[in-house]
Amino acid sequence: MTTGSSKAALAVPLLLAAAAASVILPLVHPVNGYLLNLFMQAATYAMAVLGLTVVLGYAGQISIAQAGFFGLGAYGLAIGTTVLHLPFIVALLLGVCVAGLLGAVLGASTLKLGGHYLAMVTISFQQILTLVLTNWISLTNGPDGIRNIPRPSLFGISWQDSDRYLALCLVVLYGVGAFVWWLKGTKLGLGMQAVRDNELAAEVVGVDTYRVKVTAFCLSALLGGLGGGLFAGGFGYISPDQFSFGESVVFLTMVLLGGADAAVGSAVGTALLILLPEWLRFLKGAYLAVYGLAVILIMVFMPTGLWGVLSRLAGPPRLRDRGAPEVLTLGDPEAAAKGGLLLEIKGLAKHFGGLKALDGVDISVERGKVHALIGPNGSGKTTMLNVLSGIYRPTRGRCWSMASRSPACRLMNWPPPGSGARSRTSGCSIA
Amino acid sequence: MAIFLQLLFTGIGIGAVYSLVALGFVLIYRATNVVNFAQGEFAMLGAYLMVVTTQDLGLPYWAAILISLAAMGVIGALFNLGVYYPLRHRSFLPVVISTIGASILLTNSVLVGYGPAPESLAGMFDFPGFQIAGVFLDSQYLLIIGVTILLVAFQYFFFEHTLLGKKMQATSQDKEMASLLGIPVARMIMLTFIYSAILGGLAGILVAPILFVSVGLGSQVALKAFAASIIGGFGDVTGAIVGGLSLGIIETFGAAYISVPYKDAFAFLVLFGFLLIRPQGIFGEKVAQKA
Repeated sequence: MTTGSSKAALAVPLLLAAAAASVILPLVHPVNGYLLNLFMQAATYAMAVLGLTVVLGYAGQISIAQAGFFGLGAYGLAIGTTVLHLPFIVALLLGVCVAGLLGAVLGASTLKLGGHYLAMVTISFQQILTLVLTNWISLTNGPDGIRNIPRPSLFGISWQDSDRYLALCLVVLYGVGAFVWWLKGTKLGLGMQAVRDNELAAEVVGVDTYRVKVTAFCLSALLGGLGGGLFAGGFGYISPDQFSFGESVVFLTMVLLGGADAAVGSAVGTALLILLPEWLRFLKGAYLAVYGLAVILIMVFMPTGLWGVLSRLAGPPRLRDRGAPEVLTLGDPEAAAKGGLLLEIKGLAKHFGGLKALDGVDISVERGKVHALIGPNGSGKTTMLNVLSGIYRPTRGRCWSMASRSPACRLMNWPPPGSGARSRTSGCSIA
Repeated sequence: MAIFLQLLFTGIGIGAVYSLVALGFVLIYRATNVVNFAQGEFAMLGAYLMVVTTQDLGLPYWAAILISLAAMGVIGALFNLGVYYPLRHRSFLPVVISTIGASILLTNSVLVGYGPAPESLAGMFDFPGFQIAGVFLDSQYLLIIGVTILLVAFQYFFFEHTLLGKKMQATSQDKEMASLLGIPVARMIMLTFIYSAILGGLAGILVAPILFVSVGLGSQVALKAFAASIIGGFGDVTGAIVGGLSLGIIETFGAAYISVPYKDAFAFLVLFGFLLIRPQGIFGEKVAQKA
C-alpha cells in the first residue's frame, strides 16, 4: 500500500490539499446550482461505492444490491423526517441502521453461497426491495415518491444552502474514504483480503471467514445507507426508480472502473461515471448505449480499473534497499532450549471408505524444533496436513494443542475454550 | 376447477418461455462458466427483429421468423467475439460486468431506434384458440408449449446422438481434456453462443404477441429465467426446464390467489428460499469448494 518512497510522501499532502480545496471552494466561490447538484450526487454516490470497495474490493464478495441499501438509507431519512418528524441526524441513523441490519442478513447468506449464486441472491434482494418500495404505498407513498425532505441544521448552523450542504457531504465523504483506506491495513481488512484471495487458506490460518464476510456486507450496507440518507437530504425528493437494479449495476461499474480495491480509485470511478453522461449529452438518446459500450471496453482494456492504470503509469512501487539478505538459522535454538510441547497427536486415523490414508499416526511438535513429514507418493502426507489444518475430520485419534483455537481443535470436538479449568490448553479424543 | 386449470395452462405457457431463456443461460454457463446477463436481451432483440421484418419489411410470418433467427445467430457470434472472447482468461466478475455492459448497450441501441413506446406483434395464428371444458386454450400459448417440447426433444437428440453435440458437451465438461482430444474448443464455444442467441431470440419471438414488445422485455424475462435455472439446479438442462415451468406456475397462481402487485416478488422469494436451503437446486449437484 505505502511504498515508503518520496512519491507517496508527496501524494498524501496533495490529496489532503485537494480535498480541503474541494470543500472550501464552493463556499467562497459561487457555483451554479446545476453543478452543485451534480457534485452532490457524486459525493453521496461515492460513499455507497466505497461500501462496495469493502465488500467487493477487499472481501471479494459480489453485491448487486448496493442501490437497495442506498435506497434504504434514503427512505429511512425521508420517512423519519417527513412522517415521524424526527431530527435529521436521528432519521439518518435510522436509515443507516436498517440498511446495516439488512446488509448483515444478506451477508449471512454467504455461509453457503459464493460467485454466481451470491450475485443472484443480491439481485433478488434488490428486486424485492424495489417492489416493496413501489407497492407499500401507505409507508413509502409508492411510485409518486416522497417530496419536501428537509436539510438539517446541525451544530447550530443551518445547512439549507446547497453549497454548505455539499461541503457537509464532502467532509463526510472524506471521512468515509479515510476509514475505508485505514480499514485495508487493519486485522479485519487483511482478513477480508485473505478471504478474497483464497477463502480456504484464510480459514486454515485461523481467519473466521464467515464473520469477516458478514462484517464486510454489513459495513458496505452501512456506507450505502449513509450515502443514500445524505442523497435524500440533498435532493429533497426520492422515488423507487432511483434505487432500482439498474442503479445497482451503475454502482458496481463505478467501483470496477475506479479499481475495486483502492478507496481513491472508487471516488475517481464515481466522479467519472457521473460526469460521463454529461459529456456524452451531445449524443442525446444514444448516450446510454455508448455508456454500455464503454463498460465493455473498460473491462477488456483496463482490468485493474483507472486506479490500476494510474498506479502503473506512476511506475512500480520501489522496494526499499534492505541490504544483504539475512541468513536465518533453521529452528530456534533458544526456544528449543526452553523446551515444551506445542502439539501432540496420538493414534490419528483418517479413512476414506475402505482406504486407510492415515492409521495410527503419532506426532509431537516441540517448541523451536524443525519437524519434517516425509514419505513416498500416496503415503498420506497431504491428508495429514489437511487433518491438522481442519479441512478433514479425522476418523479416530487424540490431539493435544497449546493453542486452543487451532482449526483442528475446532473440528475435532474440543471442549470450547474457557469452558473448564483448561482454558489455555485443551484436549480431545474421538473414539 | 376450470379456473385452476386455466391458471395452470397460462402458468405452463409463460413458464415455457422462461425455460427457453433459461436453457440459453445454462448452455453458455456450461460451455464457458460464465453467466450471460445479456441473455434476456437476446429475447428482446428477437422480438424487435420480428417487428422489423413483419411490419417494416412486410415479409410473411414464416420468412420473418427464419430471417430473425438467422440474424440472432449472427448476433450471438458477434457477442462471443466482442463480449466474451477477449475476457476468456479472466475471473468471472469482469465477464459478468462485460455482459451487463452488453445488455445496457443492446437495450439502449434499440431504444434509440424504436423509442420507449411498446410495439405490438400479431400472433402466428389467426384463430384465437380452443375452448375445452371451460378452459380457454390460447393458440399462442399452445404454440409456445409445442415449440418448447420440440426444442427439448431436438436438444436431447442433438447433444446425446450427434458427434457435434457430443463435442460441445465435452467442451462444457472439461475444456483442457477436450482440446487434447482434438476438439476445437474455441469453435465449440462460438457455436454455443450462436445457439443460445437463437434460443433466446426464439423465446422473444414466441412471447412477443403475449407481452408487448418493449426494451424492458429482456430484463423482465431474463431475471426470471435466471432464477428458474437456479431453482432447477444451475448448469442442468432438465433443471432449467423444470425450474422455468414451476416458476411460471408459481407466479401465475401467486398473482391470482395472493397479490397482483407483488407478482414478480414470488419468483424471487422462491429463489431466495432455494438458495438458502438448497442452493444446488432440484437437480443440481452439490456446490462444494475444492480443498
